[in-house]
Amino acid sequence: MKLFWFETYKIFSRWRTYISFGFIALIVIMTEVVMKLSAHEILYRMMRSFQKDFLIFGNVLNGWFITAFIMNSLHIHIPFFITLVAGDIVSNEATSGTVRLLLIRPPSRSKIITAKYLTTLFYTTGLVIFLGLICITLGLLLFGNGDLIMNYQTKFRLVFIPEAEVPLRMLLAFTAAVWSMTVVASLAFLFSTLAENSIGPIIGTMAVVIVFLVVGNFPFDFFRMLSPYLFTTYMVFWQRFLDDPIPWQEIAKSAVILGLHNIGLFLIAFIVFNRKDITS
Amino acid sequence: MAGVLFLISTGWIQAQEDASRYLDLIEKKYSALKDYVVDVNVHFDIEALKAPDLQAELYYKAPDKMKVDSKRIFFFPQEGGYFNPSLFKKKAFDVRLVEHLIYDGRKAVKLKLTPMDTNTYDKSFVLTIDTDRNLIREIKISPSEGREVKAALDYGRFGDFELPTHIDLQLDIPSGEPTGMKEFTQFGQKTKRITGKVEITYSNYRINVGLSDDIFREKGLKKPE
Amino acid sequence: MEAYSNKEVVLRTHGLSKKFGKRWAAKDLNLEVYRGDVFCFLGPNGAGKSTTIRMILTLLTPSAGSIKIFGMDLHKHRRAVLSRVCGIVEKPDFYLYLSAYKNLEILGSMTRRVQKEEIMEALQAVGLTSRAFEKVKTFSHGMKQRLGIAQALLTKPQLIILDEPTTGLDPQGMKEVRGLIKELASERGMTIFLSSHLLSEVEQVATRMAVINRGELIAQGFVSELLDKEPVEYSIQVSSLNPAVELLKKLPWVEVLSAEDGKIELRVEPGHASELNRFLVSNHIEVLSFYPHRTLEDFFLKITKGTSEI
Repeated sequence: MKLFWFETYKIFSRWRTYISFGFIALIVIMTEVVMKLSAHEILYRMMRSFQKDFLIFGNVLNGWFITAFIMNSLHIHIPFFITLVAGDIVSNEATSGTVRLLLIRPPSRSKIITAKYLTTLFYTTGLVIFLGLICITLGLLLFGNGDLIMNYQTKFRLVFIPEAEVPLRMLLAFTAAVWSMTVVASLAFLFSTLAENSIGPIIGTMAVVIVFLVVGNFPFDFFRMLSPYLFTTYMVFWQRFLDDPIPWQEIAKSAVILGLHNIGLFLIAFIVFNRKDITS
Repeated sequence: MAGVLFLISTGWIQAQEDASRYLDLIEKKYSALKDYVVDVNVHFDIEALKAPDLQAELYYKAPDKMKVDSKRIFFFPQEGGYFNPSLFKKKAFDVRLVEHLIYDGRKAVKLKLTPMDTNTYDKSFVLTIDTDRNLIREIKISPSEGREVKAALDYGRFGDFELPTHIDLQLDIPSGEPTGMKEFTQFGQKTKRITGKVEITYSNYRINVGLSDDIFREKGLKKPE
Repeated sequence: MEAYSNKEVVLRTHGLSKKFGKRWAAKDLNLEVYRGDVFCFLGPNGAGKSTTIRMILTLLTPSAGSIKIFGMDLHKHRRAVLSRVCGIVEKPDFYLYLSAYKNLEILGSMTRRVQKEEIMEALQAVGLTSRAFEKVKTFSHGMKQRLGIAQALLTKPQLIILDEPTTGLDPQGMKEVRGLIKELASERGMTIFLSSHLLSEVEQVATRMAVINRGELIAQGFVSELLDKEPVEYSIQVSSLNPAVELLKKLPWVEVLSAEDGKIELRVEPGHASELNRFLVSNHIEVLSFYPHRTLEDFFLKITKGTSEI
């Protein structure tokens, strides 16, 4: 635990860590202010296909709707902020030379790498929760409360979630979002263990995420075949908590697959770090 | 030959006048209905719309004002969801008698209403009218873009008026699914259709309460200018 | 020196080897460091000094051999061993975005719980008290070096391993570090294992030493003993040059290298240094000055045959 707190202290002592939080706050604030100013137009465009057959009354564009809307872009900007820290947490020790002081201490390499990994997960969790808190708080302030309408753009489908159910579902959705982002963190962490500078892991992780996202969404049979093997396919499983009925089996499957990714990636990093010769 | 044609045309004109008569009777029956307020409960049974039962208050003022007041988000069918006796003005439609039938054990007629001016109104209707009680029992609406809505109405007596207690809507509409990347490989695929049912229950009618025009300012989401 | 047979061996390597690809960076090293030693590890650039130190500090995994510290196998009892050891490999690098105090707190606490007073004491010992709460990125190289020693002292280790500790320091800084090394050994009873390429520095601080070249151990022992095994060059000034030269040429254990301006340069076989002066005096040659040129540098260059690069 002591090692974990030291690693956490080190991470949060760097101003760079706060860039991520700052940018997330900026993105959320800008998005919500723009949406407030263009609320009517946005909502009309989103609900256009349904409005041909239904009249829609009430506060559709409420804080929960805005939160869900922003969360849909979670897998685009959050991975980058995660890699800034996760891709640096091990490699930076080599870059700065502190690895020579760190690894000659009594705690084993296993403990050190585990502490660093837990810190990475802690940071990832904090980042996603921060996103959630700021989305929800600002969203409810600007747009008020209400039922949540989920419009699945790729299907003609609308799901209505009563206001009383929304907080719990959002909590579950964010938990799932945290879980999906931990895979990105684990990947960046692994790259960080393999490299001796931070640039490689950051770029490498983002490249993998982007390529997987693109490949997984290509509408060709070959890429559809690959899609189940790409972790990015399961990264949006948090959306299932905002569906009706909640597909628990599908959620469990996605969670397990992502969990296996985490375990595998961490194990590789663990083994590499334990066997690594420190020559720098 | 001319005589035959004359007889046929006068017979046809006679039939048109008969068809319009049924609408006249309905119009007369509800001529004293100026407005009403009613509690509405909407139940959705549509694959594409997952929602619990929704409740609201519906305001109607003759001839064509409608508003829904709900504490929560509320969906309401665009067509056939509420009772508007002023909708079927014979002057606006070409009314044809389709057939005589027995509906729910009573004598009824089926009328086809085709709009005279499609620029102002683009929907056609097939009405099934209970001729004993002068009540519209079924409305089949065929608006543009391949949409079909069929409404079945049940009535109750509220004061001097028979007003719907229950409207069952059957929807058969195109999905409007965006032809995005997901469907890229499926050229020439037929547009998916969404079918389902909406059950609307009305209760606690308050009739001719003297509603002001001011309360009908907003009507759900509007297209931005 | 006979007392050493009773002394505890603090560090012992047996057959210690490390291979990188096809190249042996260290091969079959058998080192012994006794308690209280200031043990110096010498070798040309690329000889394998850093590789050896890194293996001892578990930064590298040996390809073969064993390391025992305090009688315990290093890899089996890593935690117990390293809690009594501290080291600096190359230049000490710290978390630049943290203060000196915080760096010591974090690094020290990885060995044992350290109190604030201990941290301040360690900083005081190296003259950094006034900069305790400033970020290390504001420190000069010399200050970082001192901070490195502070972190080495903080947990009161019994064995300190230093890899070229005076690198980059000015003469004053070097003197301070040398003084500190001597103090740690003599007054605090610590055992010091250090590598250096500054032979004059080693000569001043080391009690025992080992020389490595191309990954292989070529000499190990007390500094004085190792040097005593080699012929020593002397520079003597005499009142009568020519008679002195004639006399000296008769001695089989003396080689006259040069003689001019009243000064004679000569090489004397080991074990005869004390005889030389007696010989001259007994033959009525007045000796005005008598300087040995016995240096570690000569010894080092000779046994490494002047190799500076692998």
